[in-house]
Amino acid sequence: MPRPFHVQLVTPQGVRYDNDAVYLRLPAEDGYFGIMADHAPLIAALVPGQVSLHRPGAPRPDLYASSGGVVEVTENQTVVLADTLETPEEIDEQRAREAAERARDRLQARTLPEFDESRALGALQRALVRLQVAGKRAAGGGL
Amino acid sequence: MAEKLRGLRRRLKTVRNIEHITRAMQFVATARLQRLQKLVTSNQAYAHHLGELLDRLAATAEVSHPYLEEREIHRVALVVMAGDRGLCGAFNQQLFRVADAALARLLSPAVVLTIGARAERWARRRGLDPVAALPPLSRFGRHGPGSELGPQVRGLYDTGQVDQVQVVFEEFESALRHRPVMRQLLPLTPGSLSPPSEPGAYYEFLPPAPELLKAVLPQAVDALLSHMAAATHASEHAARMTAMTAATDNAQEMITDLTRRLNRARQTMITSEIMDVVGGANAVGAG
Repeated sequence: MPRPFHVQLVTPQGVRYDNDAVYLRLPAEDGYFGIMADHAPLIAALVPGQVSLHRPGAPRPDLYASSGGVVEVTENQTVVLADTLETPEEIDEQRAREAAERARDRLQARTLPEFDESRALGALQRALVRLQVAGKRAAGGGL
Repeated sequence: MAEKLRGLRRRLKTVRNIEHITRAMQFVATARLQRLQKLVTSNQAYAHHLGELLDRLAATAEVSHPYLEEREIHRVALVVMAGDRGLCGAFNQQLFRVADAALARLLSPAVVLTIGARAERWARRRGLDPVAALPPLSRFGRHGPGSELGPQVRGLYDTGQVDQVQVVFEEFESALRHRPVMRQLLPLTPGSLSPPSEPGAYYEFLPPAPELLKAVLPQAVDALLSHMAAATHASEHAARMTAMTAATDNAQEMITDLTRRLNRARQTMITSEIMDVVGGANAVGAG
């Protein structure tokens, strides 16, 4: 059993988690990376993706869809500041699917004078992450 | 006499009606405040952590970012947040007083951005044309106006149209303690979010610090704006709750007073009528 360390998941809507974890997997620009106890001090920018948190003794990780943020790791104290964190139960799949479609349409059409590629891409990415996390619930969870 | 009675009755009815309205508004404000208070409190944890993080970033990273550097000030952007409805005591006036004081100190006319119709009207009265007049605070969801107002404010700063951004908003402590303040948003001064902390350990940065700052700082600015907006919105309802509680109390006092006067007037009338009857009977009896 790996040693536990303290994790806080904080969003503007409140503190989502404030307890021990044995492993935390986060989405960064170059891909997912993991944090375990005694990780070197780190400050990293997070991109939209899945956050999975392994609680000590839990058979499966807790999954969250994150829309990006930042993480700070100091002596076994990890704080994730995310714009949003949603559990599979909280995700509105229908809405996410619609959002993904809208973003795809925008990316394909590129007609609007105020078309903003990075914004459309961001919206698409966030919607896809939500769908992915929501799908994990249907599939029974797990990595 | 009967005339006076009727007048008193009418006034009593009016005051009772007013009391119903103010009491209803008091309840509505209380309910809204409770919801918003929760939001502000949960927001505070985020803002606090973010502030600490920024301070440590600024302290440890030997890098620069325009958001962390003071530059010579030619023009200032003033963001004014205010409530959108009245009946909240001097809430809006006090905010505008702070904004007026800020305007008076500036060398060149400020670039003004407003949230809510009242703030916009305030700006126009001062002969200022807001570059952005956003809808009232209540129109923004739980994420607040940061994602809308943030890019506009940052755009002004990024393009050098302004060299500093100040925000006039209401700082919320509790339902009874909130006050209008002005805070600097850009450049982010150490401790603008939280009290300064000791320089931390040597951090690894992912991506390297310059890109990291580029990714994190704009988000921080937007989050900060949303936080300020939430505090202002909660304060507005707190102010309305206080004002309406006072109004309800006053109405009750008036009702007590009017009822007393009404009863006295009625009794006086009855007494004088009895006197008339008795006087008349005596006169008839004596004759």
